[in-house]
Amino acid sequence: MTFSGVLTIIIYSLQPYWPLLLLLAVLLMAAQWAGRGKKGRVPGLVYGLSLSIGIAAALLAPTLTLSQLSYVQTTTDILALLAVAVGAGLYAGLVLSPLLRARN
Amino acid sequence: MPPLKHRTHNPKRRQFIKWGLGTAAASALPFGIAFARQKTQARILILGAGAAGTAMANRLNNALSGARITIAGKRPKHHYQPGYTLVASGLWAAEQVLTPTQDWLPSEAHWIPSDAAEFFPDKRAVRLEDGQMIEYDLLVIATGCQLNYADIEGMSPDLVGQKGIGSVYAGAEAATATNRQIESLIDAGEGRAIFTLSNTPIKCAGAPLKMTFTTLSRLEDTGRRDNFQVDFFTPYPNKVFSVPVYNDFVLNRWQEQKVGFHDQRVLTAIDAEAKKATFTTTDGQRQQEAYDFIHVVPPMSAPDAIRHSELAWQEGGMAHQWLEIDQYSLQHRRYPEIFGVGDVIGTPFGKTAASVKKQAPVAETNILNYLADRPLTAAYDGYTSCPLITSVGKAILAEFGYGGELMPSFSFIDPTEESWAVWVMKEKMLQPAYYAMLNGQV
Repeated sequence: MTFSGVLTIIIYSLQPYWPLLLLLAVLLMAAQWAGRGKKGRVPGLVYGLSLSIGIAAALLAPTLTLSQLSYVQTTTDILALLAVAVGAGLYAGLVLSPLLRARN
Repeated sequence: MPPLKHRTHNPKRRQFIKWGLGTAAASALPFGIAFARQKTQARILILGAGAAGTAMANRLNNALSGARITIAGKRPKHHYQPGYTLVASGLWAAEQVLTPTQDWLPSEAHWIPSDAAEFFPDKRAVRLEDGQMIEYDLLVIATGCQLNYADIEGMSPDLVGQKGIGSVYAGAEAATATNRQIESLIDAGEGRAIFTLSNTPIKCAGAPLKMTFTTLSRLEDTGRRDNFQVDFFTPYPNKVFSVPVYNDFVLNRWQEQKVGFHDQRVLTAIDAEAKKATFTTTDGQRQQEAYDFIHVVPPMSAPDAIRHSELAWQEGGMAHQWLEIDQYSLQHRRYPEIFGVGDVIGTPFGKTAASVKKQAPVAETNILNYLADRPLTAAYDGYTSCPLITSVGKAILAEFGYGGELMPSFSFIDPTEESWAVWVMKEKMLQPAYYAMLNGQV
C-alpha cells in the first residue's frame, strides 16, 4: 500500500473522532495557557499520574475496541499498546504539568 | 453484547472531507498531472451502484473529461457489506452499514435507479428493468452477485430471522435478524447450531467461517459451551477455505473448539417448521439434520440477466454462472468494449471489497488505454483480502492472490497470526478505507 493511500485511510478513520481530537487539543491549550506564568518545579505527582493514566489507557484499549487484553499477542499488538500508553501518558503529562506546577 | 452506538450519517461532513482530501491530493501533485484528464466523448454505462460500480464511477469521472457516465443500479441505500458479520454478531447496529447511494456517486454522472434486464452486446445496448434502452460505447459490469436461496428446497430469504434460520448474506436487516436468532439460541441455554457452506463460488468466502467463530466466541462467553453442539457442513473434502494455510488453521482450531466437522455435504433442503436441514452427499445420499439454529450460505451466481446472456462464460466450470472476463485485464474475452469489476466476474479469486480496491485501478487504467487505442497494460493479480475473525476481539489478516499466493500488505503484520491489531483494523479502519475506495481515493 502506498504512503498516500495509508494517509488517506488514516484521515478517513479519524473522521468520526474530529470533535474528540478538537476537545483534547482545546484542553491541552487551556492547560498550557493556565500555567503560562508558572516557573516552579513539576511535582512528582504529575509523573505518577501521567504514568498511571498511560497504563490505564493501555489496559482499557482492548476493551474499548471490543476485544480483551489476553488477545494482545503479536509484536505489533504489543507495540501498538505501548504506543497507546506512551501517547496517553505524554498527553496527561502535558496537561497536568502546567496545572500542578508550582508558581515559583 | 449491546450494539455500538452508530455514527450519525452526515453528508455535509463527508462532502467536506471529500473536498478536503481532493484538494490535498491535488495540491500534492504537479499542476499538469492533477488536471491532465483524458478527453473522450464516450458514452460509458456502469451497471451496479454498489462498491465496484461506485468506485469505477468516481475513478472514471476523475480521470476522464467529456465522457457521459451513466450508472444503473436500483438500490437506494449503499450497503457496507464487510460490516454484515459484525452486525450479525451483535457488535454493530444495522444502520452503521447503510448510507444513501446518491451520496457516493459523482454529481456529474447520471444515476438511473434500475437494474439491467437484458443485454444486446452486438448492438452495444442494455435494456433496464424500467424499460429504458441504454446504448453505450463502453460498458462496465459491476452488478455484484445474485443470492440463489431458492436453489435450496424450502428456503427463501424471507425465512431469515425466523425459526432458527440465519444468513449473513441477505442484507443488513437479515444480519440483524440472524443476530436475534443466535441470541435466541444463547438464551435457550442449550441447542444445536449448524453452519454451512455453498458449493458455488461465494462473495466474502470468509463470512461463513467468521459467523462460526463469533458464535463460538459468544457461546464460550456464556460459560456453558458444553451445552451447545456446533457443527459445520462443507461441500468440499476436508476444505472450508481455498488457501491451504488458512484452511488448516481453521480446521485445527475448530477441532480444539469441539466443532463437529462434516465434509462433502451440500445443503439442499430446509424444513423450517420442523427445523430440519437436508444435506446431500457426493454419492447422492440425503441426510437430515435437526437444528436449533442454522446459518445458511446460499448458492451464488451472476444476476440472471447476465448468466443467461451471451456475456457469461459459455463453457467450463463457470459456464452460464459468471461474467466471462480475462482474469488479468478484466476485459470481456469476446466483447472488448465491456469490462467487469467486483463479485460478478468469473475469475478464480476476487469476491471481496478488498478485491474491488485492487480491481478498480486496473480496470480504470485498462479502460483509459482502451479508449485511447493503447494496449491494456494493467493486470489484476487476484488480490483478495479477508480479516478472518477468529474470535470476538482478534483476527487474522488473510491476503492472497491467484494460485493461493500470500500477499501481505504490511511487513509488520504476519498474515498467519491472530492479532488484536488486525481486529482493530477490521472494526475501526476497514470501513473508512472502504469509503475512501468508493470515492476513488485509494
